[in-house]
Amino acid sequence: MPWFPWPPPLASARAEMPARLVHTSGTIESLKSVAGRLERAFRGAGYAEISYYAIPGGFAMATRLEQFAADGTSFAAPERWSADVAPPQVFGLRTYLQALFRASPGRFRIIVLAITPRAFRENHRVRVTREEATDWVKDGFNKLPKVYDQYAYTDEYSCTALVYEFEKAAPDNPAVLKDPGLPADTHLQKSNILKGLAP
Amino acid sequence: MIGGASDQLTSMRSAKRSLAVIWFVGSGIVFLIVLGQTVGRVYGDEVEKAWAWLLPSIMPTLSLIVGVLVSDAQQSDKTPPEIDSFLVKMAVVVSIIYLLTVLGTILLQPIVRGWSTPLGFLNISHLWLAPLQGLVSAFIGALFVKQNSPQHHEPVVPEKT
Repeated sequence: MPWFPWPPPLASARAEMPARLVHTSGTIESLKSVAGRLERAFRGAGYAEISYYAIPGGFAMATRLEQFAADGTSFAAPERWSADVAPPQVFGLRTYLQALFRASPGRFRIIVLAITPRAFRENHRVRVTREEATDWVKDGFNKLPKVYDQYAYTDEYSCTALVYEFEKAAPDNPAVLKDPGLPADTHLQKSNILKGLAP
Repeated sequence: MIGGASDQLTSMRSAKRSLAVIWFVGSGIVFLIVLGQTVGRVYGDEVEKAWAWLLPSIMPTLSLIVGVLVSDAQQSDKTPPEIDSFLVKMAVVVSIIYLLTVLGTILLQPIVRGWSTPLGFLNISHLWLAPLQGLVSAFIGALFVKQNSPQHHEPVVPEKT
């Protein structure tokens, strides 16, 4: 399995996933089983493509680049998965004038879950570009190898969400990493990932 | 709007003023819209590219018009020459069509956003604006060049013998 850049590049936001949502404390569960639960939550939130990477002590999951609204809500497909800024909805004079005279920025994100018992920090010297981050979903494995079934997910493990948020100030501008962006909790809630993990 | 001494001839001064009004009003509208888009950050950090599209589209003709108007104002010509009114009408019509096309190119941006970015649409607009601009330049240039030709000077009265 390919390695995720480690320590991870500077993210726009970071948050620990609530432990109770990832694993039931006191029970014996393999890393692969936890990965399955997380993957189901992702798929329930509309993420059809997930990539797996190896990281020290565990694994990472990366989503495909998606476009979202200013409040963090995922766009509806097909705009959600488009790398181009979604065109404004013009259905009257008011919306037309808004589209003519107001900037329509594009907001994109990639969510990476890092499951490891080890402490880590982000690499502030590395600012990933949108194009590099977009390749994460292509370069990783489509599923977690069977060997991860042999490792137990203990209470020492944690699941950290790293959100890489990119913004295009205008459709003709390059996308740049936002630092800081929306809080990671907001991303996880508005993308419905937490909803999929709720018991 | 275009005055004339007969069906065939139009006062050169009147023709120039009509064209000046058309160009200043049309360019002013387009200028204000792009200025509004600049304030609204429609082009983000690439705003200079939008102005680099607009200014060559209108400034050469505007500069020519202003230059000739100023030059005329400095001359004490009591009897302004006349010009073929057909040429003037064509210059006016082509100017209006050109300015409306420039305006339309900007106004269409929100509608064509499904397949083109604002700057992308401005860039491909050269396909239809360049030929029109060539026509405009030809007509207006011909109009003002004609002013200096002998047939538009006062008729030469033969000397008495």
